[in-house]
Amino acid sequence: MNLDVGIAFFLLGAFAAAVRADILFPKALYQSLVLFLMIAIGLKGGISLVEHASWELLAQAIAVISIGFVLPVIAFPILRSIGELNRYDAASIAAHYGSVSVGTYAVAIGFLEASGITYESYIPLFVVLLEMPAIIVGIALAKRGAQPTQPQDAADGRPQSGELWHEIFLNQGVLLMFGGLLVGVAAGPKIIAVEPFFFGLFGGVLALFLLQMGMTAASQFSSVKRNGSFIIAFGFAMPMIGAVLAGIVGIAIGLSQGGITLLAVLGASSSYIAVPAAMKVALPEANQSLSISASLGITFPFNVLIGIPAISATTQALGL
Amino acid sequence: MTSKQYWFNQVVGLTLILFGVALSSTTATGHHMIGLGLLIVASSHVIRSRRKLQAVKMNASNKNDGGAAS
Repeated sequence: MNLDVGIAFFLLGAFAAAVRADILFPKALYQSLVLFLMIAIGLKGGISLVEHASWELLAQAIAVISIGFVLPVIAFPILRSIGELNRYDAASIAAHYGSVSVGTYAVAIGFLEASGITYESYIPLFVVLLEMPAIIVGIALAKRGAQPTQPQDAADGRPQSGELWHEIFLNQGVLLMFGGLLVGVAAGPKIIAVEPFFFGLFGGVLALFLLQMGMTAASQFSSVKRNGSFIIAFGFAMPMIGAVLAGIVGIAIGLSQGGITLLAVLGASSSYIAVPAAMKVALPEANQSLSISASLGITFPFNVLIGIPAISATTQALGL
Repeated sequence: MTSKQYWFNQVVGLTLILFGVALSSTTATGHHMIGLGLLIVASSHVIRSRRKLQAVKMNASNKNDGGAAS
């Protein structure tokens, strides 16, 4: 059958949750796996950034950032006019789907490496850049046309703008991946000292991460069903829209087949770590469980099981 | 469920059915079982949203009839 190892572990986790098997997966271990994946991806990107730093890369980065601005603007009217969600919920979900998932990206890396497909190794830079714009657009969409409120301060339980900017630019994903990039750039060939740990164990750590994510996704599914069929359909539709848009940008900026696949996967993915934390601070009025359950219960499994292989097959079939 | 949501569900469901057919026909990548699974899930999504729309329409017409009778 030749099923990808990561996908097999994901299915195992989902099965374990579905049959209510008593698997204890400590929260600290999950957090450690996420830290490992973010740093490993950042380091890999940093090493290649030294070789590829150029004006062309800067132009590519600007084009990639535009994806993060456009996707929430596409998602918002769908959520408002078809889904009939209120402004805050729609903006929050749009921000989740405009941002990216490092976990999905890690799965795509594993998939490409297992398939022997090469890609531009500086793409982690794009992952970092794509984390932020959607949060800003999401907040702008929520505030535009909303009822004016009193100036916000921490005393009445509302967030200060400093706290919000802190969440946007210094969240765990951005800091660790960007930090990893910088360490990779600064260390250069000396990175060999940590190479066996961060690069040699990548596949095994990813498998454990996916086992946990399979359990999480399966446990979120009942919550998704409660939220109605529209949000399920949206959780399937948005990755397809995002993949097409990001794929077109990937072709336009001249990425390789593997690079286009990775960028399309980033466009298809939705955040479930960085954006929820930022939205909790920026839009406390929004129903966070709605966006998290769509992102984790529908879009993440869809991308892992179907999206990544389908995107890869499409780029191969088109001969990109 | 509104008629806009019904059509959105139908378009997404039918797209997923196409994905399912494409994936289930590939044996090289080992994704044919997932493709078949997707085919089943997407088909049931399409059928269920159709039933839901019919139920909503029936409820609305019952309410109208009730209102007219009283």
